Formats: sequence, structure tokens, C-alpha cells
Amino acid sequence: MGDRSGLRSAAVLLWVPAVAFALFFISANATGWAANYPLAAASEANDGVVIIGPYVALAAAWEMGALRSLWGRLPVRRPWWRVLSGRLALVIGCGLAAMVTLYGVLGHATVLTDFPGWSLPLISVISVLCWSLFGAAVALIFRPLVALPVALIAPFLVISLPQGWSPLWLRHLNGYLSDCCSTTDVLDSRAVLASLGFLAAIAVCALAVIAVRLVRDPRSAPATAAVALAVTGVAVLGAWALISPASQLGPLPTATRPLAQLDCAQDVCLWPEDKIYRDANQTGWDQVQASWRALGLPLKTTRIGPVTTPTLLGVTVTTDSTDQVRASMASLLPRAVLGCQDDYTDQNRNDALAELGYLTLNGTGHPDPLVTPLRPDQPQPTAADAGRLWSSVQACS
Amino acid sequence: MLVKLTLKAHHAPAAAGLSLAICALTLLLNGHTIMLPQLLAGLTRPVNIGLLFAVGFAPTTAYLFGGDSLLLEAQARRPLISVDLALGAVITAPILLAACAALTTRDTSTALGVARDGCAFIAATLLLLALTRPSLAATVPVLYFLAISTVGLNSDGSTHTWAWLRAQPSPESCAVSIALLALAVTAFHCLARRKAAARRPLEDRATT
Repeated sequence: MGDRSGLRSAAVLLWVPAVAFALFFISANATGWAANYPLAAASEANDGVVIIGPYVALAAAWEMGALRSLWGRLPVRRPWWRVLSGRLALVIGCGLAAMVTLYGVLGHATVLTDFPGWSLPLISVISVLCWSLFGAAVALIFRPLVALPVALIAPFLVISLPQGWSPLWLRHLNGYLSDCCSTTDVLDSRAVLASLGFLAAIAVCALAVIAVRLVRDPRSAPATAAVALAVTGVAVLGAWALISPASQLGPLPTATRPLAQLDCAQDVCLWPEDKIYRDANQTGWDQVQASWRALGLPLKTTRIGPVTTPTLLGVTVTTDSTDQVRASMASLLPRAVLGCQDDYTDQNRNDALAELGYLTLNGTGHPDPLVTPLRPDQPQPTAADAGRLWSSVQACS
Repeated sequence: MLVKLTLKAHHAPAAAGLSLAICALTLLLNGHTIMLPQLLAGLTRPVNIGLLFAVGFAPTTAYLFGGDSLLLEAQARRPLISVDLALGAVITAPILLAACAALTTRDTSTALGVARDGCAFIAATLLLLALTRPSLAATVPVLYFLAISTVGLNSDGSTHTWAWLRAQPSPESCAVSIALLALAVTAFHCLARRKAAARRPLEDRATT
């Protein structure tokens, strides 16, 4: 039997406000990724660690603050780790329940039918464990007056500050993997491992501090401290091994989704979540392709998809408006054929490709008055210009 | 003599040092922001780093006014208004200094920001200290900071009324903070001392 009711613990008292706050925070900052993509929904739920991390740290600090004031004054026969687990079980349980609630609400329970993979749920679990242990360690070092504010604000700063730091890959270390994911992307395993390594290292270091603080027998204190130091060293080295590959990443924690997951029908390949846009893409592609061929321009393949590969042209669009599909495809097609989707360095080439896109859209019979690459003083290009333009541009390397 | 002893018992030198450090950091890193991405910045704007430092006034105030001395003063038989005013001066003097330093460089915005944020967090802590225990009084203002940092702005970039500390500093908002501080000092003095009076034995109350 416990020393008091669990219902009076900070973890339980603050559970509803914390979850409500997290839901409000996430919904007020909607990312705009496809709601039916399980990985995007899971990532949105995982963003809740911004709130749930400080919450569990505060609750753990509260629990351990009570223990700190009593420790050494009461005869305790249980080993320190059993005392710790007894104190933190409710906190960790509440933290995990909060994350499960976020996954359930934001994913509309799709995580049950379309599992987003283990990466994000694992990061959420490790985050809860890490910040709980951190809060407990802080409470055993400082008095409640300092420990509670530190437990509350430190996780928030660790999660938020690296987002503005350079080098940019530092933002992938804290379990808050923002900008994930469009249907074209999956989480990069290097970012996942870096987050897991960093959070696990914090957890192990906190555990070492807790062990040292809770050791009862003064004779075993030096041995405990030595073991804790060694374990901390190993944890830091292990974390560094997991973190260092992430230094090759840029601002995004994502990698290209495996093409094997594409769902192809006729000429159009789409990700399963984007199948509702198939008809618009097929109609738009038929018209744009015909216009492109009418201009006498070459096509290396007639299959289109969300990414460019030797057998696919990356021109599909996730909208059901045929007008938008046509306009986007016409502007994307010249770049896709030349492999220039991400290369905007040559202004002359940019101008030529924009003109080709304009000519292509004109050829579909549905020119968009808003889509014009021309300056007012520039003459309108004609179909005869297409061949000259095409021969003047070079493919991107 | 009483004030001097009380200031010592309330860790006034340490609290004054902490207050001074907070103000110095605010001035030193003036203009910097917590470069949060859009998601964490409360929709559209990063958080001024001075606001983060001002949160430090919460535990500092609880450390200065609360603690064992507050419990001992529950037994006091004479008015403690001079003590409360002296403690208030200890923690607010660095804010005044920092604001004046900012004004000498014609940086009105920083001066108003330092005064507004500092007074608001001290006021919140004092109000809570009058009602609850010091650890809670130091923690709740930090929760408020988290709330205004994450969801304090509207989608158009304007500030929610309750998150007025995230708005651009203005004389009006600064005046509101100072008024809050005056209210908080009064509330602390009345409530904390009334609690002390309630704890006194009846015969003591009859004779004093």
C-alpha cells in the first residue's frame, strides 16, 4: 500500500491539463501534411513531447522531491531502483497514456490499422522515460524551489532551442522530429537513431545521478559512484556513435519513401494515401503529354509519379482540381525531363524552362492567365520557339 | 536592526545577486530571441530571450520572500510592512537599474520590456506565495511562460489578451505590470500576515 493516494499525485492531477494543452498546441500549429498518412499523423502526435516532456519531468520532480525530504530518515529495505520504480511508475504510466491519447486522437485511431512503424512510437516512449528520469534526478540534486522550475523549463528548452541552432542537424537529436512527413517522405533512420541515442544518454546519466544520490550505505557509495561514472561514460560514447551519422543530414529529418510502396495504374503512379487524386492526374497528364508531344519535344518515359527516376517523371500533383494539375504538370515537366527539379542556379535555364512550361500549358487549350513567366516587355513565345528553347537548355547534372 | 536581520534571514544578498544577474543577462543579450521554428514559436514569432530570463524572477522571489523565514515571521507580533517593502526593494532595484541603463542608450523598448516582464513575474509569484507554498509559487509562473511561448499568439501574429507579456513592450503594459506588482505586494502583506495572525494564540491576539 502506498503512502498516499495516487490520485493526489502531480502526474494524475496534471494529466488532463497537459493532454489538453498538448492537443491545443498541436492543433493550433497544424502541419498540413496528409492526414491519412500514418507517419505524418504519428509525427504530429509526437510533436506533443514539447508539452508532455516538461509535464512528466515536473511530475517526476514532484514525486522525488517528497522522497528527497524523507530519504535517509526512514528505514528502507528495498534497493534504490525498486524505490525509484515505485515512485516513477505512475509518472511514466501517465506520460505514456498521454502520448497514446495524442496518437489516438490525432491519428483518428489509424495507428491501429495503418501502423506508422516503430520509429516514432519508440521515440515517444524514450522521450517520456528520459524526461521522467531527468526530472527525478534534478529533484534529487536541488531543492523543490529550484528543481520544479528547472524540471519544467529544461526539457522545453532542450526540445526547442536546437531548432534555431547551426549546424542544422542538431535539431534531430531531441526526439522532436518536425517537418515530417509529406507522402513522398519517410523518417531518415539516422535522425531516428540520433534522437534515440541522445535521449537514452540523458536517461542513463539521470539514472546514474539518481543511483548516487539514493545509495544508503556510505561504504558502498564510492563503488556506486565509480560504476555510475563508468556507465555514464559508456552511455555518452554510445550516444555519440549513434549521433555522428546524423551530422550528414540537413534541416529535414526525412528520406525518400521506398518506391516499392507506389501504387501504379495506367501511366500514373501515386502513393497509396494520394489515390484519390488519380483521376485528376490522369486527365491532366493526358492533356499535358499531348501538348508536349505536339511541340515536338522528347519524352523518355510516359509514366509519371511523385519522384523522378529513370522510369518515372516526377510531375504528379496532390490536388483534385484538373486546372491546377495541368498548370503544375506543365511547369514541372520540362524540369523533370531534364532532371532539374532542385537546380535553380542557372537563371537562363530557369527562364527557358519556364517558357517551355508556358508553351506546354498553352498547348493544352486551357492556358492559365495567372501562369506567365514573361516580363511585360518580352514578346509572346510561339510553338516554333519550343525546339530552339529545348536545344538551348542543358540537362542538370 | 530588525530590517537588517530580516534581510539576512531572507537571503537578500543572494536574491539581489540573482536579480542583478537576470537583468544583466537581459541587457547583454538584448535583441536576441529564442529562435524557435514556427511550430514552437506560438505560430508566427520567436520568443524574446528577455522573457525567458524574466522567468528566473519566479524562483528568486519565492526564495527571497518564502522559506523558513516566512514561517518564523508567522509568529511576529509587530507589523512587517517595512520588511516587505525592503524585500521588494531588494528584488526590484536591479530591474530599475537595468531599465535606467537601457534608457541611457535611448532603448525605450528594452527598458519597458525589462520592467514589464520582471514586475509581472515577481507579482505573479508574490500573489501565489500569499496563497500557496513557495515551490508552487515558483513553478506556476514557469507554466505561464510555457503557455505564452507555445500558444500565446493568434494566427495573424497578434497576442492573446492573457499572453500580454509576449506583445511588444508599451508604457501601458508596463504600467499594468507595475500596478500588478503593487497589488501583489499588498496581497502578500495582507494575506501572509493574516495567516500569521490566525496562527497566534487567542490570548496573544487579545494583548496585541
